[in-house]
Amino acid sequence: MTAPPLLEVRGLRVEIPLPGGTTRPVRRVDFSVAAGETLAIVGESGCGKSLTSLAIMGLLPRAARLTAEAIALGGRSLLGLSEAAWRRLRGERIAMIFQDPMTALDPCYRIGDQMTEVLRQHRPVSAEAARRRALELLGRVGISSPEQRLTQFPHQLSGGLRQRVMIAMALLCEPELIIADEPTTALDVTIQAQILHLLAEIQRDTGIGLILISHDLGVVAGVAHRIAVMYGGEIVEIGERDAILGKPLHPYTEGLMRSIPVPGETRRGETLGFIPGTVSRQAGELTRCGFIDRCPYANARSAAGAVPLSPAPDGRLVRCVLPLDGSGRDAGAWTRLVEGV
Amino acid sequence: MAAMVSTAAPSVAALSPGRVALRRTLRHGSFWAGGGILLVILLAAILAPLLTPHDPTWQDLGKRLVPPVWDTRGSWEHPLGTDQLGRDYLARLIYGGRISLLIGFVTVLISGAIGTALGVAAGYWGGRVDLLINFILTIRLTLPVVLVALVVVALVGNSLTILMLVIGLLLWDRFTIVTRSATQQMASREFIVAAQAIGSSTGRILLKEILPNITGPLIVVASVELAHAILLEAALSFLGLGVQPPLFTWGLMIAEAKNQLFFRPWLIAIPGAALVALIFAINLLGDAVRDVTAPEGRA
Repeated sequence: MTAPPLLEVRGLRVEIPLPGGTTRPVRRVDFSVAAGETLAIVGESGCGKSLTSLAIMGLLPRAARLTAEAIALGGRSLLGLSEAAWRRLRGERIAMIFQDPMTALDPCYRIGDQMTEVLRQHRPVSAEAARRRALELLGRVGISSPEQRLTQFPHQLSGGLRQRVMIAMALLCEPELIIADEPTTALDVTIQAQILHLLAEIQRDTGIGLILISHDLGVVAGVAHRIAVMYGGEIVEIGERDAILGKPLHPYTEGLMRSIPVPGETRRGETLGFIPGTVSRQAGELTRCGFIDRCPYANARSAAGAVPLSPAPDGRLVRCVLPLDGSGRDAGAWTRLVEGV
Repeated sequence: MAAMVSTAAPSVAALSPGRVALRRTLRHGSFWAGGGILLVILLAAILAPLLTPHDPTWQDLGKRLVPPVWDTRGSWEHPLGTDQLGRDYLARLIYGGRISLLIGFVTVLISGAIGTALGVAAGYWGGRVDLLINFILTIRLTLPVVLVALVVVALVGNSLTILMLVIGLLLWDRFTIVTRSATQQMASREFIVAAQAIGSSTGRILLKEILPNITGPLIVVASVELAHAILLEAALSFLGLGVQPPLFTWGLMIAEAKNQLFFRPWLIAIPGAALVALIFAINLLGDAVRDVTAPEGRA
């Protein structure tokens, strides 16, 4: 028997009861993350990425209702944990890095105070030891003159520096799993690359599990080991990075890939690929393929019933009715769909 | 202003944050004006026995209604003259300020504690808690403050303690309204979720993340309410519902002088001017403190 994965999520659903009927922002999500592995969750806004990560942290908004067959960290179930147990877990074993480093740091506290507070909440360490650890980690995430940074307030730091501070804070208690929710979205492109590089490097050195959430396939391409593509609250394709980026099998992944400009191939004036339409409102139970309204290959079988994840020959899982060897697709369908808008 | 900022910028980096805050405070005009006036009034109240040789309650009926020193009939023995019972008006002004300030600060402590607790709870938890607290708040807002004070005083009798309690228990509404909306804004900020994500308890989040971040508006409300409480006490005393002789405040002095309004206007103008100066100073200082403590303003 193999060791259980670091994090296992099975049958995760999040429902939000609203006056106009229940929405289901997360419908069925199954994945696992091994120690030392980076799983990227990719999808457009509103596809349930962030709610999935909040569900793992036990931080869903009050109105949301969670059901899951299993959410387990290191083999231990996280379902039905008491609030006190959650508090011990958060920060200590799972840490989170937020999207906007401008608002994720409390403006009232100096960097040093915020960092040592995290550590001292979880461990009985002296103020001096906590300070040394904070200094060490600020150095580790590539912040120059960390002593000076410790005494500064968040608004005195640039966005890139703040995100480095957030990463250092996430590392304070040596968690087993870090969830980075769009960690580079609020940063400019050169800083993005630095932060991603830093995350990958830390992940390699410490052997933690990393969940990297992004809406940008290009961002995760360089650092992820595996990629899960989400659409409309479901995982539509999950597998090894090279397999997915090399030959996407789900039409949605294909559409995402067509939307990335490629240096040397995308020419000036040429229309960049896009996926017409928007994510439909996720109300009732699915009775057909969730992507049917926007899919260029949709056929009668797409409408026949909810589509299960099925294994492709190379081991990845794809939620599509098309033949999983990539055949049966009309090469001109995307162009016609885009031009038809 | 822009020029000042740019020339100061290089040296700021070398200063400790505490020094910077101090410099910002010392450059603030309202701080000097408001703080100066308030300091004078506070010092006068504290050092009262040293400032005037007269006993504020000692009556000298032979010297009733002596005009202040700037009047041709005035003298330096009674710089602000005497009242209807021949009591030295400067002494009464100084000693009366003590009670006015005491009432102001104590009631703001009471109402601030109640109002902030309710407002933070309503803003943070929302939902039913918010509904309940809003209900209590609405009931409170329907109560006419003066009438309630009248009823309470009629039922339980009148004393300084009761007066402070009544005002304190009545004036928490603005604290609740302001802290509630400030807390709502804070509660949706990412650093609160971030605090939860590192395993902070709710109490810790309320006290160490929310409260420090709403001190700005809180200080402004506290200054407004301090002024409000002092004015309310003056109004109640004027109506005969406030402090009772032999205790006296500026409000009671104004009340006692109202019959002399047209003949000896200084009797009403002097405590009135003192009241205006105090309220003005408190509001100026509240503004200055808010400007200096706002985290965005720190450098």
